[in-house]
Amino acid sequence: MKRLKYIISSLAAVLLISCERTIEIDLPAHEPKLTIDCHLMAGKVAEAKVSHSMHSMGNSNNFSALPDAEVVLFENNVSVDTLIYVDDNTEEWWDYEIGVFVGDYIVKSGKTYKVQVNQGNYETAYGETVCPGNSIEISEIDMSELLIDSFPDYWGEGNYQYYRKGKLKFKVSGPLDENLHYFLSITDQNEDAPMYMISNDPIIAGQEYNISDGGVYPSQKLYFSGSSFNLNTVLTIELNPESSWYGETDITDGLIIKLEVQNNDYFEFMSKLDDYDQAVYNPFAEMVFLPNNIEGGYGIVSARAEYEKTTD
Amino acid sequence: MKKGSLLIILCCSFALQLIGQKFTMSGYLTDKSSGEVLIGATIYNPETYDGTTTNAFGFYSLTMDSGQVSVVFSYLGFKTVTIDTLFNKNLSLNIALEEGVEINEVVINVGKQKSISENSQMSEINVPVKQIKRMPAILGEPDLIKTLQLLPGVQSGGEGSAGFYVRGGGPDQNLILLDGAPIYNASHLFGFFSTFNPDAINNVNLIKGGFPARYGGRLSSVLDISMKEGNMKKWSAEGSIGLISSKIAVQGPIIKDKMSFIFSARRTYYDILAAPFIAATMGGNATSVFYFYDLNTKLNYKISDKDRIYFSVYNGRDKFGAKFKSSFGDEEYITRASIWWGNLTSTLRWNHIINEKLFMNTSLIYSQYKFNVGSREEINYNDYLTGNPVKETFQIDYYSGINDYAGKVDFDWIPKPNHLVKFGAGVTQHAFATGILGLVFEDSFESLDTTIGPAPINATEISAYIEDDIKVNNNLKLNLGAHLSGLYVRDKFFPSIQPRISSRYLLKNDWALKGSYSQMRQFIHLLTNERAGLPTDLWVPATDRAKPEDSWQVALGVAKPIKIKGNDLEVSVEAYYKEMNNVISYKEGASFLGLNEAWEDKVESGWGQTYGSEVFVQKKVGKLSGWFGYTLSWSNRRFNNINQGKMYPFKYDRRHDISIVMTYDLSENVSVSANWVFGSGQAISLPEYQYLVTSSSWGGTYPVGQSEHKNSYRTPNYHRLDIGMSFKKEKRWGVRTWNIGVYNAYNRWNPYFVYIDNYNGSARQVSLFPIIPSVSYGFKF
Repeated sequence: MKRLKYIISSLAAVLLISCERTIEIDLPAHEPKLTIDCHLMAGKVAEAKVSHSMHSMGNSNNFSALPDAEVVLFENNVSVDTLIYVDDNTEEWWDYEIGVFVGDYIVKSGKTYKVQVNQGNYETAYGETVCPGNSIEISEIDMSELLIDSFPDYWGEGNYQYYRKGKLKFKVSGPLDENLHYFLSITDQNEDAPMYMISNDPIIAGQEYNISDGGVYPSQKLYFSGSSFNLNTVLTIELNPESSWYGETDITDGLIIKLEVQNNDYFEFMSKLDDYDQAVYNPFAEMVFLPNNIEGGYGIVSARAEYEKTTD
Repeated sequence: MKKGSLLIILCCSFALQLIGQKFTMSGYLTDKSSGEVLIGATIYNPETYDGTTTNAFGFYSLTMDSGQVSVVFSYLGFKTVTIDTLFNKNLSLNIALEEGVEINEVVINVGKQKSISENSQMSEINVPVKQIKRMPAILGEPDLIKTLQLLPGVQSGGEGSAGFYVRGGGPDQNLILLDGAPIYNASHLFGFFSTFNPDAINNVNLIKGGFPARYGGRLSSVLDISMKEGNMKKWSAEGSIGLISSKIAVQGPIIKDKMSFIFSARRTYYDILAAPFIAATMGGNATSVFYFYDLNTKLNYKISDKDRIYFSVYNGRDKFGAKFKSSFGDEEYITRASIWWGNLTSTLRWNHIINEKLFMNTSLIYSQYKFNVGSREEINYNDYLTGNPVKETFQIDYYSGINDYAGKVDFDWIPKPNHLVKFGAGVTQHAFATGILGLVFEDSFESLDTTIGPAPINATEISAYIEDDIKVNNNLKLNLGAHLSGLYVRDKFFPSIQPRISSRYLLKNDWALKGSYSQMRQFIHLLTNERAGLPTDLWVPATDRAKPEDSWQVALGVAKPIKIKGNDLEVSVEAYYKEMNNVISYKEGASFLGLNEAWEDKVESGWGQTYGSEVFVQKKVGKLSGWFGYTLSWSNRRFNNINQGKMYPFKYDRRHDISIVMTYDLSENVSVSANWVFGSGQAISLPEYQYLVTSSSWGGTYPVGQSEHKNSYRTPNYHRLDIGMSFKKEKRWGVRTWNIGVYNAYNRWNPYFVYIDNYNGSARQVSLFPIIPSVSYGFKF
């Protein structure tokens, strides 16, 4: 009986343990294509990163710059600029530096732009986008409900860092487009990072940290889409509602109120890229497909505009 | 003379009245040896061709003209009984049929009627449990759902999977009923076995389309399983001992011909067998459990000829767990991790014959499904100041589940021989726990015991239906009906009216043309990742943001019994087209992980389309029996924010499916069986190429893997041959059976899943099951 038990145990164990097997399989071949990564900004010159695709099993160290590519910018179907390759010598281990093509033509709001890339070894590729308008007006800024608070300076004993908190009101007006996406940020003039803020205004369609417990948490950008926005609205924004990560010793500078307007190409691509980054190490996550508006290749050509107002 | 004339006139008029009068014969059909009811048995008058079938409780009612009648009671595999009687009043007649020896076992009984061309119902398959037990099985464990996977229109989820996908539908779109109670997760061992113990099952019915109005709540199929009721005549037991599991079923009369029971149990013991190996490998510092079990029990009480009560319970659970012990200095660490899931259902039914034409079944149903994954860490040490023993514990649990309480009443009304009316109504109270995290922390200073996650969602589902199976004339039969249902959830009501129609028209030479149209509505969703089907899949109710799923399906087919060289075959060909609205899918990048997002934020609602055709050729009787099934199908999905809003092939879009199933009786006691199955590769998403993008947040450039569209890659085709042999022998104490089998006889490495190995730069396929021999010992007495 003991022997029988041993035999059955061994047989069952061997059967199940030996079940799994991993074998290599072939994926379909891939014909490399040109890739364009170009995000235009109204009022600035065009910049584009150009490279090529490769098979997913290819060695990603083999991505190469294509300095001899011809990168042409079209405005409303008229060639307006040829972008020049600028090598990037600041190679970092974490980055794939492939240089950048830079133009000298200033991108304008409301125009349609096409970025076309020709390179002898690849099929011609191009992408098209419309640069959003930046005719948003910010006015009637009311800082009367803003207070100055402080916290001890961890680096200088006895010193304090100061920051603003409280309610900031201002009026936003202008022709808004329901196909565009608007991001509001507020920064101290001498700081780089935007302040944390919160708004109960119903036009704020999404805030960065809006979790399932129903709470809305402060974020550094407030989002509203063109379709949800009522023109000539006075917004009330609460700055640093809890505390602040950042402070300064001199708080006499002004505030920069920035409204970034993203076209749908940019908004969709960056949203999906964010999802992609979140999902890439999660084996259970569904695969994320990035928008691709490049004919003959891969990548994105998109555009943004910014409107800034600095308080006194 | 006058009196005599009057008497003659009276007699004649009475006789004439009798001739013109109709009476009803009704009762139950049972198996003579066990008292078990026979479902779908045929009762007909061979002269007039008036006929009916027994319902799910073995009840029949047949109204005929009065006079001398002959009535035939037949059920495949049983000896036919013919009753000749003077039929001049309503008659209550219970008939017990004896198992036939001259007819070989039924393989698959399509439509359950005398002939495949006679039933108005299409897309329905009845699978005899005996056939399930005879099929070669993985590790010698016969499985109901693996048998269903061999039928046309039914696909397996993949290698070894006990999930099934009907006509391009999702895994949540199958209504699985065990004695009327819904089973929410019908799989064990991560899907390798189903929860149904064949020893406890009496009848299995699968409907893929043309749904009768009495069913509702799912879009793609209904799998209606009836448990055995228990032998009313004598005590009996059967069971088997296999390589990784054993099972036993005991049944018998508590009061002979009045009250019976059945109890069955099944458990795997791989963990017990593997324990010495694990202990030896881990030096005694680790123990593990991994098993599943099923318990079925049913009580059946015949109160009177008109009243019966049934009470059935099913409980099944999977548990995987491990305990590790380690120490560091004087600190002892004990870590436990476990994952378990299981179903618990119970059904209380009362059958009542109101009159010979009206039958009522009232059911109270409870169904529960729970999933839990958790870990607990314990640290024991002595306080370095006081020397007192200190214990710190940290426990984390994630659980989800669903609880249903339901009540319903169903009526069968047979007003005339050419009408069978079914109607009824029901209400179900659902409570959904949609992913809750429990945290417990305790040490000598403080303790924490809390839960995080959304509050349970309560929802009330109501339904009512009416259907009429009408024999318009000898050629045309119709089944017309409507299913009304609604869900009340979060102060919102979602009503629905679903018309159903199916028909059969007899053509020349026994050809039958069949057609059906049905609308269905589903009030619950299953959040499931396409990458892996896990018990973590979450059942959630339809809400304002994830609306109820709807479908409509149209099917057209022909059926004909044919004879080739003396062999009786049945052939059916069906084509179908189905559209679905508000089907849900996880958004790109989403998964069940992550509690900082409500489930409704993780899903997309979209549209689905599936179409195809199925061929089924079957040989039911004779030494050689079996079937050939072929399915050609397409299944697509479209969601606004998935795959750029473009239509893509669903994971279970499978172009070709072929199955060949054969059983051959070498002698009365020895039989050999084989099945071969082929399926086109599954549609999955794999990055086919990569290119560089630049992050907007940190400015770096890095590669991303992409493909042209979702599910653009096809895994290698699936095919497999299983062979089995059965040796039966009568012993003094009963019958013993040795079953030997070979799963995957030619050792095909079929894909279980495919992934990208970035480290080695290759795509890899993981296969689970090579050639696997098995042996099991069965007994019955």
